[in-house]
Amino acid sequence: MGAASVRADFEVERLRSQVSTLEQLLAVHEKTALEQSRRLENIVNSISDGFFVLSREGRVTYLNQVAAALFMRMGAGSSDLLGRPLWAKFPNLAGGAVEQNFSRAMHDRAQITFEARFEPVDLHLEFHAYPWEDGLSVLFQDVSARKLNDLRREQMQIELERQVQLRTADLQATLSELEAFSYSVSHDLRAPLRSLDGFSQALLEDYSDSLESDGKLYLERIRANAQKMAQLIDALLQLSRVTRAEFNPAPVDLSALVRQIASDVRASDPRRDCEFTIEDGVSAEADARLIEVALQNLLNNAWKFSSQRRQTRIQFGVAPHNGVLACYIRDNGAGFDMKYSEKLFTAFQRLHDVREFEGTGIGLATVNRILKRHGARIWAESAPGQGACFYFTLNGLSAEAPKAKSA
Amino acid sequence: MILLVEDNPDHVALTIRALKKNHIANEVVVANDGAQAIDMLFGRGDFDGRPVTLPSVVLLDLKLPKVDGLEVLRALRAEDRTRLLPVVILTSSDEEQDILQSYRSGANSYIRKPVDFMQFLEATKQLGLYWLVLNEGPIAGGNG
Repeated sequence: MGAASVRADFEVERLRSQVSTLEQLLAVHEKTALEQSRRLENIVNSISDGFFVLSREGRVTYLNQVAAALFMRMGAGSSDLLGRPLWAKFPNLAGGAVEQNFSRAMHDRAQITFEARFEPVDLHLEFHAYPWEDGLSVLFQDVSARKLNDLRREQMQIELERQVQLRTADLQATLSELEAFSYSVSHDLRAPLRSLDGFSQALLEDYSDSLESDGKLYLERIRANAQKMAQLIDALLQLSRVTRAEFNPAPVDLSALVRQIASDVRASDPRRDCEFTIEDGVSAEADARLIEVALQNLLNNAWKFSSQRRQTRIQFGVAPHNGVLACYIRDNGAGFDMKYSEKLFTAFQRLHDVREFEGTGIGLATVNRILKRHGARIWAESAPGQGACFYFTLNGLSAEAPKAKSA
Repeated sequence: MILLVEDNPDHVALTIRALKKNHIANEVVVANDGAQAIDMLFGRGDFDGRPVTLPSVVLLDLKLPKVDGLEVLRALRAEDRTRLLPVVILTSSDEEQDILQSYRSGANSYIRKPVDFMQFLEATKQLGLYWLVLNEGPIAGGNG
């Protein structure tokens, strides 16, 4: 054997070995590629959405299991779809809307999301289409249940709105009735009282000679009662107005309001010895007109129930009480027994004899209602003969200048 | 002349009594409802063809049969002849709506009839003094 032949053999052997190495490498690569492909397949199949890929021409080049199941429900098996144009199987999917959207996504190179309904099996589908250079990746899912829920929610909303409208109408009707009632109370119930009072007075004036003193006294009693009833009617009206009135909260200078009311109260009997102490700079968020009515009632009460004192002392201010910042109106009057304090704010409840202190029994009920409309609270502390102190809260209550000033 | 528009005969009697007590000598003409008041002032219906004398002041109740006080007031304000006629609302109500609507409809004054006759007497006195003596009416020869 020649040296050349030996070299050739050697060369063949070397090439063989190289081929074998290449084959081994290829096998490894193939295995890796297969593994990667499987992994990819697993990943894509693990998505709970349907996933498929369309080529530029609209052929289905891939679909995951969920997509296969969804298409099966729509009447097409995987073998009907793979490698074929989607539009061959579904020529007019959702009236062509799906095809149009896909074309647009591919043309614009922009992701698109849309919903479409597949009528034959009443399937609501939501599509997310993502274009890439050779076609379109599409995620889609069955949103029929969500659609149904939306529909139900919509119907419930409509039903709820209908109910609210009905209730509002009911409430409006009740309110109108209340208006009519108040109007009637204001107008018709007072009219006979005027006649009672007027003609009693006419008798007293025109027939004075033929009336004995008892007779005159009786007529005066008729007049007094007619006027008392008129006061009751007015107090009731005020109570109902508190409920009917519009509520417009705004910052109110309570100190100024109390000073004004105090001067009115004092003017009703200027001879009385009375000292008002009114804290300056007290303000709160309140309906000015309603809170004025409340303060009038509270100050009138303080004035009334301290009428038997040699000197009346009435104080208005702000102080923390039971852990909250509260306004207070304190008097040195007759006071009341705390065991009746629950009756204090109820209409027609009186804690004092009419002969001692006159009143309608509606004032504090009105105050209570006004504060309730403010989302606020009123309470009182007292003891018989020890004066009374009424506390109430209000939104945004503040006392800027804590210096007390005598009015 | 005073035109009193009032349906309650008791109140008519008491108002006339109060005017007399205050020595207000003007003639008082009474209309028992809003329709009659309009007929009187415009010479219509039962008053068709009769010469219309405008009063110095109209005392007008709000709650009236047939045509209520506000409608009467609006009718008066819609006519040139009665547009400036002084109208005082004299009523039992002090509902804010009544007061506002009265002024919006062109009332010159609003008085709530007090239950206490002595207070009513005082109110009538003031009313007579103001509208029949002090006030210079817009209508020539208005005081009568």
